[in-house]
Amino acid sequence: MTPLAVFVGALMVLTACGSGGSDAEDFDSASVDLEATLNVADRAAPTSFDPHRIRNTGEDKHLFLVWDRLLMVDDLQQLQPGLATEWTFSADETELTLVLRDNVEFHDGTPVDAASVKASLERAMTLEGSTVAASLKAIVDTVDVEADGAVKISLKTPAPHILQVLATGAGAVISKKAIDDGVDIGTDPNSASSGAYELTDFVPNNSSTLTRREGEYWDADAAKIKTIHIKLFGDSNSMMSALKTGQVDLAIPSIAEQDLEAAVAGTQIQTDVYATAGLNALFINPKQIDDPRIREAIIRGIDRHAIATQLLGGDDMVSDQIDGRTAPTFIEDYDYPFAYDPVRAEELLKEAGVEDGFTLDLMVPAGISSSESAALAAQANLKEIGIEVSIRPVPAADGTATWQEGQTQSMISVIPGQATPYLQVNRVWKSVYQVADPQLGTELDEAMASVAAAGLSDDQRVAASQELVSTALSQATFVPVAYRTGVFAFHSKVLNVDSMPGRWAADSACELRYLAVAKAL
Amino acid sequence: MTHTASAVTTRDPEERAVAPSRSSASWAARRIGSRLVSTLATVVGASFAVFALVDLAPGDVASRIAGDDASPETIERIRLALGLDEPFLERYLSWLLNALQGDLGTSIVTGQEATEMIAHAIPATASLIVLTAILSLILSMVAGLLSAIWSDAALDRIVVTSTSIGLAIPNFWLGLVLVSIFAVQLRMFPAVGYAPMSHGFGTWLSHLILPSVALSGVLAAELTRQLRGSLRDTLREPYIQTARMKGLSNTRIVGKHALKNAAIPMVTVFGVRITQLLGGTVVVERVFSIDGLGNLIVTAVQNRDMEVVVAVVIVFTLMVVVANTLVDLSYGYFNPRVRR
Repeated sequence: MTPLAVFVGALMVLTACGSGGSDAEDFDSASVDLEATLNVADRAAPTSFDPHRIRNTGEDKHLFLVWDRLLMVDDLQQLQPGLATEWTFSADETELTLVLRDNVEFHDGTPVDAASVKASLERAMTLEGSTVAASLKAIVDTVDVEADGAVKISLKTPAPHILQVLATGAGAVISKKAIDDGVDIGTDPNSASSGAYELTDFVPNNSSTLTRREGEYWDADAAKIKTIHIKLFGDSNSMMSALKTGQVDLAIPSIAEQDLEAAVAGTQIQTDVYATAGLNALFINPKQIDDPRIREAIIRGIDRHAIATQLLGGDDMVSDQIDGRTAPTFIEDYDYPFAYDPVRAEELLKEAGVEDGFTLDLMVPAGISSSESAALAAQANLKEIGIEVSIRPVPAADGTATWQEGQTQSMISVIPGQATPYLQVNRVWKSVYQVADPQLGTELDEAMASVAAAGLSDDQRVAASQELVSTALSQATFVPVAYRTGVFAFHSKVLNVDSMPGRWAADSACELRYLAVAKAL
Repeated sequence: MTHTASAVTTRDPEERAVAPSRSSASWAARRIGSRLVSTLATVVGASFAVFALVDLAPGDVASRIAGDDASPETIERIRLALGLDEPFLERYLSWLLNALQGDLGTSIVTGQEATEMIAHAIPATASLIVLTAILSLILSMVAGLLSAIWSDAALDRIVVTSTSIGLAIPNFWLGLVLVSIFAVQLRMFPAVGYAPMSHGFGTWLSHLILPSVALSGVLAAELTRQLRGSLRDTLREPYIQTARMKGLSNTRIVGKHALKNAAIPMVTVFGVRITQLLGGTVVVERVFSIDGLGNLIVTAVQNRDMEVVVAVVIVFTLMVVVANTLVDLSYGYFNPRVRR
């Protein structure tokens, strides 16, 4: 048995009795209003309830009330059992066996079994328009039914991060009967799911109303609210007004901390402002700026810490690495290799033969105030070392696609946090933003392989992950500027906001399953 | 004889109107007929312009559908599946052909029929516009009348100043102020949302009061100014003086003779301002989080959801055409001479 398997085994023992993953029940159950309705004002709304077509992390809060996943990640980024209660890797870590929870049924009456897990994973990998296909197909070879309650996933290479992938929409389990019958689960997910809630009203790209199902749910800590209504708001001021008038109980505005304080001054509204693992970051395209010295000069020419502390939320937002502070792989004493040093930056430009400076094309998603502020500050900083920055705004939703066209030299934008550094490096350097410098050889690939290697102890894997972060950041193509601020504003009757799973990932990401509403006094 | 001639020239234009050469119904039918032809051309032109503008704008819908983690290959596959690689004209003509058969297309983002999305959104916008129009007309009639009748009084100066302020205040700002005072502080009305009439007339009205007031500011001010100006001019007309000499009451003079003629410029402005009113819904619906056509088109534009954008623009165009046709037809009532 490998050390990882031992670790996982220990975790299983710890969680064997657990109904779910919540450590969130910090309220007196008797004081909870089980018949309550919770109105949520959100900045994201799904266009479909198909878990294999989730477009961004903000949609999780809608879909994960309906869909159970094989695994879950809690508010401290720790794996927790979902429909799978046990998970074990083979000795060479190319096979993952999942043991499913007993006596759980889909709402069409069929059991949650290995056949459904197999059908669901295969659907996720093959569905036209699947947003999770790439992440699964990169690692999963085949899925086989071991027994009614056990499924074996054969991997192309060792890939321990598959556990975190199975905690996303990729790991949602759909009734095999519904898949075989061709049910449109995008608009009618109720019979095909096993979740605590059913979708009772849905306007795509606008609102969802979810109502708790009758009967016992396997996760006793979840579903303390009878009805959850989540509505898309296009404007944060409207959101705050609705909160203040009581039309909304929980709001997730995009608002600066000082504006939030002003908005709730004199009210009983509570706020929770925190640093997520999402990042405001500078991307430098190595195919457009292929001299690492120039890239380093750009980074050294920008006072990132000043931007974080003065413009983007204060000392808590300063970030030099890609993990959030709650992540097990966060490096406490990390020494970022390209600290602010304008003198050294000018030397580097001279060494690279561009001592007279040049014009840098910097793309910024329009309307994302943190990115716009950081871009203006970077522009002022770089001017001092002779680099003229030409800021080019693009519609926020087009930022990634425009970057992928490959014609942009640099970009300041925001990204959500990922459950492991491996996933984040893969996303930023390889699959989505592709900032890996091809001239720097295979060092990054080797570092990624080290993290995924079989036979590592938990500590060794954490160390390998931290090494991977250092290797990736040393390419001077992706530069953390500041953590993204997460903001929740809510009435005091709403409980457990500070321990919602997923809230570490991004400012609009969270799961609502463990929220509760206090009874009126 | 001179006296007779003078009497003719100072008669109320309505009274001067001789029997129309064709019936009112026939006149109205001709106006509507000519409007229909120009409407079709306008709709086709507008749809082409919007199609072209959305197509020229940076970014594409495929990246929005593909999600945050999409690779370039995934986005390209979606783009091909949606037919976005086909030439612009080919896509437009294909859309136009379907549109002429009543099929305005399907949202690329949500998969819903564009007509279904519009049907869901139109009650809120229509309610908002109708209430705004009623509110504006009532406000402007009262203020314009009082101001014109007592044109040298302090009341007139108050009205003139108020209309200047009304014209200067952006409706989104007015909306935010109204929400802050009447929804948040006084709790008199809801801050956001729309409730259909099926929830009760009071509920429907309470949700629409603040957005309608926010939207009616500019329109009411403009109409008041027009009515005040034209009514003052009308009240100086010789036929009004004649009516006074005949001993008609002030109420009868203003209500029956002056107002009807003075209303024509006001109605004209109302027709022109309908376009701005529809534009205003885009902002006000955002501020009040109302799921109407304004919010729908903003979201569709953000998502490059071409079919929905074009469909909403067509609905807006038709609304403007209908409003202007009604304004046209109303001229026949206010001034029968135009029917000749």
